[in-house]
Amino acid sequence: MIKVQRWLAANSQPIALLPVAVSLVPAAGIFFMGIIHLRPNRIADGEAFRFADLALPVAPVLALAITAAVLVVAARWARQAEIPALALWAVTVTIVPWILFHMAAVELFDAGRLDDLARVSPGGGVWVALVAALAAWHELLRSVRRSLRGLVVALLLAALAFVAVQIASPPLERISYIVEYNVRSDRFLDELLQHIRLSGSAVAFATLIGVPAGMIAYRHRRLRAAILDVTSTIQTIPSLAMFGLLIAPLAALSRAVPTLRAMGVSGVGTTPALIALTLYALLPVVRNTLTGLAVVPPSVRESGQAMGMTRRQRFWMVEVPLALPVLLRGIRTAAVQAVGNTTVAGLIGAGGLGWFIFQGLGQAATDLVVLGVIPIVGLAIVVDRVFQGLQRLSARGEVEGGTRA
Amino acid sequence: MIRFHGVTKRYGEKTAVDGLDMTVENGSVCVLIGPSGCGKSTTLRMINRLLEPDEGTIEVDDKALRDYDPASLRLRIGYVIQSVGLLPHMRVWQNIALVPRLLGWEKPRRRERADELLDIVGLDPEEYRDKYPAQLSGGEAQRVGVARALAADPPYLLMDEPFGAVDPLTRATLQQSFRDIQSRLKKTVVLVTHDLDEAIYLADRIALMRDGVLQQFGSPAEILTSPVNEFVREFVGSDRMLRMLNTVELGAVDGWSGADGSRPTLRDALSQLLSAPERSIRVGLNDGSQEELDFDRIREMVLP
Repeated sequence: MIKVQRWLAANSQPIALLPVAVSLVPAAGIFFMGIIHLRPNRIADGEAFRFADLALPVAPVLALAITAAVLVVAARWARQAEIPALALWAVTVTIVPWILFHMAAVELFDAGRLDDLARVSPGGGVWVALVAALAAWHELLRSVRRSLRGLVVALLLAALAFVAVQIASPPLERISYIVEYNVRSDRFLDELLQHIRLSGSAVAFATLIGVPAGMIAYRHRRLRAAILDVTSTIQTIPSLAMFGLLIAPLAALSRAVPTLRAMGVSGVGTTPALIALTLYALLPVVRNTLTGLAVVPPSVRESGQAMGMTRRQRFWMVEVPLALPVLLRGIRTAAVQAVGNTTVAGLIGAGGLGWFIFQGLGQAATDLVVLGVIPIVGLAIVVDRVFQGLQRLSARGEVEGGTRA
Repeated sequence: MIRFHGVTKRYGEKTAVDGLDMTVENGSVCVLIGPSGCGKSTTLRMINRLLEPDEGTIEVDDKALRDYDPASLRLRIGYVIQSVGLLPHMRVWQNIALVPRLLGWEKPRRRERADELLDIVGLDPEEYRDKYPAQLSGGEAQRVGVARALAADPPYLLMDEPFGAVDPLTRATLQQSFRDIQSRLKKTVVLVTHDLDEAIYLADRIALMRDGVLQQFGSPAEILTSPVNEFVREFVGSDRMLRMLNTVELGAVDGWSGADGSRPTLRDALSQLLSAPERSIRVGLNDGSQEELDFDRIREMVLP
């Protein structure tokens, strides 16, 4: 046991108290705030049930309190044990709220309150506990060394699998979002793919246009201000206004040129959406291309020249590789923004996950809104992480050495 | 051979180099020295056409510089600068093999060549070839810089204060390594420094400049023993004869021990002699022979 503790201590750094506090305090919400939200039908106002309103067993809440106490004691008086204590806490705070949620649903079902039309969703306490869980996992991943990260991720996946099983077991198939999803499962996949297609193509176009524009801005000082002004002015136009502005000229264009109309160009739908999204994605790409090229150290540039590189070789072998991490950061910003902006495309008939959101708003069906929002957030996080990885890869030399700022 | 004919370079009102005439012989080390702003770096940078002269011509291998394509000219002229300028995104071996790559060598041959050069500059290829520049110390980076300049075996080497940014101990080692490498490779070298001892230690010829004008061009001994004007006399200082001692390298001196791989000079021998109980000490010469050294012999060796 002592061996294990020594090994853990050698492979971790001390945990920070603030994130732990961030994790501990909101967890108390599970006791004081709603655990389950029950609505008699899809759009009716519901009723929240707290722990005290239901005859739930005390054990899960007690388990949560005990692990919290263990963590506090470990962090204060037994630092060798703090990593296992934090891991225990992270697992508990992840699964307990959903166990309670499931128990509450069973309770309501047995009481006959969960008829065919009724829907349930997690109460405020469960959501707040989710924030606590995020803080705990984040701190855990940060404080263990790289070699142990795999283990932590495995633990996290196990906890998530457990939660998934809780959500999937009866009577929780009545969770509102799942009901909404089941009704529209085909459409969901279509719109998800359309969302990815729209934002992906917009970023691709913005890269194809923005990188050369950034290079031109870098080479020609006089054009620089003009290019930056245009791209940053575009960013200030509200996205709804932008879509609106595009409708009239595109509709006119489509009327005037039948070939374009045959290709599917019209005032509403994919074409204006793609144009608007591309325009929005331009600024980060252009600006970061310019910055990336501008921060290549003059000594490195000159040494390339003095080695006998032609202008072209210098550009491809020195300037581009050194600018690449900064450029990728720009594309990353553009991509994350595009995932969010594409939502608005749902308004002008271009589809995408925004469709669920605007449908939900129109029908006052919050669940449908959430069904659109969750995958958008997920998509944004995935895109962000992927580009972060690419960025790290492209900056190998600088990162590994660590001495270059 | 590098020839300057009436070379002048101006920056606006200021004349950086004024009517320079000078010839750097093949296989020799020419050190440009002088106070800050004397035009020594400008002179150097005109040789590989990083700068263009306003008047006069520079010839390399009896052909005027303006008749060369700048990029291909530079492939034949190795260049080492104080800030080293290694490309941060390339590994050490890729940095060294850069000019060979520009010349179109195959990858296996480039790797082999990089290892050879790491050996030449005294770095273990196993340890260093895959590092990134950011992982090197100042001295190591400078060695890699020299290796890179030598990679394609260029006949010419330009060095702009190559040992200026490292600590004195490392500098001494680097200077010695450079001298050893040069004695084997016999490149035609133009080196800029503001360190007179470095100039005396490394140079076959010293070009002392002031305000863009060449004051004196000659061997270290000539500069030290017969300065042509008051400026040169002042620049080399009243201890110039002591500096002369450093120009004579010995094989060994009794009782002397220096840093790893370094060799004693006549100056070290004099220091030993001053603290010796006898009137003479034994020294080994560079050719391996032995000699009794006393004060008179030292005077003879310094004043040829």
